[in-house]
Amino acid sequence: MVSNAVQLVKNVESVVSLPTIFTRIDELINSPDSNLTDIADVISEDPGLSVRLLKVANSAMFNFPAEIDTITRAITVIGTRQLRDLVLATKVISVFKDVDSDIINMEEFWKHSIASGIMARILASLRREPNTEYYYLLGLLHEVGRLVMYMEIPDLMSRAVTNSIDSNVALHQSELSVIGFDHSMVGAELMAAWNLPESMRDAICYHHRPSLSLNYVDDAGIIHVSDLIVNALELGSSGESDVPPLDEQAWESLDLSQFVLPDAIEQLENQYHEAVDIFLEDA
Amino acid sequence: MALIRISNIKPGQTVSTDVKDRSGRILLSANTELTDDNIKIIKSWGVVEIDIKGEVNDAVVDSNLTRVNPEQLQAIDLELSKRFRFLNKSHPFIHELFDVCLRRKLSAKGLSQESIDG
Amino acid sequence: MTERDDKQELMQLRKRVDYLERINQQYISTLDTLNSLGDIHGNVKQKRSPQHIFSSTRQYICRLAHFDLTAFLMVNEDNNSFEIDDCVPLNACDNLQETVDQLIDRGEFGWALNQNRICEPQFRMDGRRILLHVLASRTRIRGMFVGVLNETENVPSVMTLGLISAILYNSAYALESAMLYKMVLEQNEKLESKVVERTQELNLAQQALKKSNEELEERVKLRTAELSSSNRKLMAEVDRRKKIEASLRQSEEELIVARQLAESANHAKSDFLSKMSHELRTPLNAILGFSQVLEMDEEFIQSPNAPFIDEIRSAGEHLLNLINEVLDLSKIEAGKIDVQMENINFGEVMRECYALINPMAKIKNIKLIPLAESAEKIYIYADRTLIKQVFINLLSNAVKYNRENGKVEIKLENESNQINISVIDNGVGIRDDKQQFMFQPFNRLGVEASNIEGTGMGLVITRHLVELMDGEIEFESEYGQGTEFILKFNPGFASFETAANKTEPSRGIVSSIKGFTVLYIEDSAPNIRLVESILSKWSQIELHAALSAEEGIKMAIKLKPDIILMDINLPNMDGYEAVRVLKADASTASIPVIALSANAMQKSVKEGLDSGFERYLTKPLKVVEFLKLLGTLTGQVLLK
Repeated sequence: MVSNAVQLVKNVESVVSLPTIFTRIDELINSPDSNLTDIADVISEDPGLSVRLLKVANSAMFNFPAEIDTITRAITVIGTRQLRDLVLATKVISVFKDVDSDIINMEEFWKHSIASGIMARILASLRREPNTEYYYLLGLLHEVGRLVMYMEIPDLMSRAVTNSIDSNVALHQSELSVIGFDHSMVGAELMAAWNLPESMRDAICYHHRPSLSLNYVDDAGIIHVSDLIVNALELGSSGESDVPPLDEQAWESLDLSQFVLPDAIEQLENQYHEAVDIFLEDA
Repeated sequence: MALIRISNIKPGQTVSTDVKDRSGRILLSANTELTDDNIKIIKSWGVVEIDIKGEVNDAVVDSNLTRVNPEQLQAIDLELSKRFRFLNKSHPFIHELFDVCLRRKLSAKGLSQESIDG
Repeated sequence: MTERDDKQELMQLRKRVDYLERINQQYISTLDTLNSLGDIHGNVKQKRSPQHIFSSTRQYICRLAHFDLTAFLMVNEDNNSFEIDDCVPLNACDNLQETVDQLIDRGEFGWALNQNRICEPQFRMDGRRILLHVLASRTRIRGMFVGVLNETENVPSVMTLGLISAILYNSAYALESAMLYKMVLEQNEKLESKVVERTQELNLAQQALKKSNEELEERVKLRTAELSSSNRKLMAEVDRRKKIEASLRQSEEELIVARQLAESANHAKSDFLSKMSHELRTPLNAILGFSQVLEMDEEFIQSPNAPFIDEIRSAGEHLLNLINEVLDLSKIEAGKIDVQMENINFGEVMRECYALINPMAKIKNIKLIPLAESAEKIYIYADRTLIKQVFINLLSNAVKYNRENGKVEIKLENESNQINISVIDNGVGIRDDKQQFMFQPFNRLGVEASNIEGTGMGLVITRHLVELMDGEIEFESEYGQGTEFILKFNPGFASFETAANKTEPSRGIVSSIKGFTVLYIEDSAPNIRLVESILSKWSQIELHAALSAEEGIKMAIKLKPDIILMDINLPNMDGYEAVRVLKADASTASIPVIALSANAMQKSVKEGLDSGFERYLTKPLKVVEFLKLLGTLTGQVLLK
């Protein structure tokens, strides 16, 4: 019996491990000595990754006015740090490729995640966040906790689902009450296990209740709102059949006007299909 | 009325809706005629595509809200409301979101399961 | 483990430590930089100007990388275009504009604007790398930073780029801050000047108000003073008016009383005159009447006493004149003279006047020179009675105020539209200094003390009468030589009527007549005797007398006379009433009644004729007229 999220993650750690290429690129980026070419070389070692990166660089996500044909150019256009996050995002889906479930449709799951990532990126851009790819990554990763739970404790999850219908509550609330922890906690533990920054951990952990976050209210808030919007638009599904409740304080904190919504959603639509094609292709 | 990529617009064409940048700043009001100068301005703000009067569509845009009959509308509204039941619909953000979702459902261009699969 | 491995490990560790130290230093300097970014914002002295922000930003950035060119493009909020607000070096500005235009056209500029980080576009400026970074606050894009790297320079590291980004964000905020600050200052200034303006206005207004308040007070005081003064005046006026009213009322009452007195005095005068006229005329009636009777007596006419009758008659007539004069004056004054203008033969009038004046003239042996023959034929337009009076007056004056053996002459001049008649005497004349008083009543110019008779009314009356006849009177006099009175009248013309109007005294009677009865109602015995003596010439005429109206009525009913004579002034029932009774009674209604009265007033005559009298004869009786009337009424002729 798994008593908490930490335990759960520990159980799957071996299966679900952080791609090494990410760590290598991360180091290179942080090193003052390294340059663009070094990073480009590392990426080029993984052809699949390279192709995917170029596709992304040329997609509607970036809307670059000219064609990007080299990794170095892609790095220039996308940005170095941004690239690192994008690499992980690109890779993370393959991390879970062996995960299968009768309870959940993987494709739908990733569609939801991709859409959340795009929306998070759009919202971050509106808030003038410099590293928008970071938010794409967050969006992509925010629900993986659920994947882990579906892998490891399917029965409990099933019960949680039933309970959510019967008790008329959101799924994540049902998770908490039935299992004792929810997918956001699990997700956060996974980030920790992957040695990813505290910011990522926090943002994912509190994406259903951002106000509770100590230091990363706004990051969590962005993910929270993105998840909500994508749920409302029914782009893919993460198991949540209805739109989860809004943390109104978090929304206020983001200081966004509700009228950005139509444009943001339009931008999402512009980028979504292409992104799904790129990221789920041969996932 | 058609969405034309910024690289394809020409002076003399007329914009059918307001041209805004990503943050909502109005660069050109609806029904303004395009000139070299204002095309330059639109470009400098990173606008990707704009609505031009009388042109063939670059992208498919369709909103046929008027074609919906009241029964359909009511059914869709009801369904949507069920999904939104955990939310306070009077909250401005939620209200806007609900509205957008409703429109999306009503328009031919829907991001429904079917169109994605196809 | 070999020593070699350890050494390698140590070297690696050292490398690592070096690396970490370097990283550390970088981080520290980064932190320092970040700490001091406040400089960019500037202080009050630097006035937070965009220029200062640009230059201090530039300082920081250029420490981090080697830029050939750095420029800040700001959004023109009016048209949303990007303008180069700051460029170093300045001479590269045109080049830069070209480059920016290219970037915009390629879409790389717009793309970079939305990236929130340092972007390197594909396009290069003369082969040198370009770095773009949006200048934006959380709320609004404010501009774009453009940096051109030196050709030797590589792209800065991620950390450096991050730092540059942080600096530029800071600058964007500073610019926004400066702009807002400027706006606030401007608003403040505007506000201040507005406040000053308003305060001034307010002051002025206050002053104006104070002034007008003072003025108002003044005016109020003035008004109050005026009002109370007016009030006092009003009260005084009211008092005055009341007093006037009171005195007016008093005067009114007095006037009423006075008028009443005047009226009663007038009445009294009229009554008196009437009475006097009557009293005087009645005896005169006897005198003149009887003298007329005597004149008709053929026997008496033969006797040597006959001329005495003339004298008597003359005197009587003069007395009558005097009475008439007094009566006339009052008539004139009362405006009651009845003027009957007609064409009068001057010669005829003169003969009558001369006849009357003769006795007077004889006394002083004054010669009355007769009229020229031509004068006798002249007609004038005047009133017969009045013209006679005028001439009688003038002639009597001419005689009265003449010397012994003097002469009076009448001359006539006939101008086409005017007859000039002069009465000339060669008497004493009138002194120059007294001439002005000629026509004054009662002023006899000093003759009062003399034995010359006169009322002093003559000339006054004369002039009135002349004027009534639309004539004029003047006089010329020379003391010691004589006096000439000149009268001017309108000419008349001859007509047959005048001949017929002559009343010639007839002295012959027709003896054989048809008889008739006359009833005379009269309370005065002498008057009865007079009529009796007149009618005694005809034996055929039967005369009855009654002394009162009541008796007369009885007798009339009984006798049914042919003619009734009635005195108006009867005791008890008067003549007017009596005749009405007679006329009312069927048995006496057809009998003609002749009024005999001393009352010659117009009013009385009219009343008489209205009451029912056939004719109204005035006393003293004109016998001839009387007899003619009787003849007419009985349808025969009594006199030859």
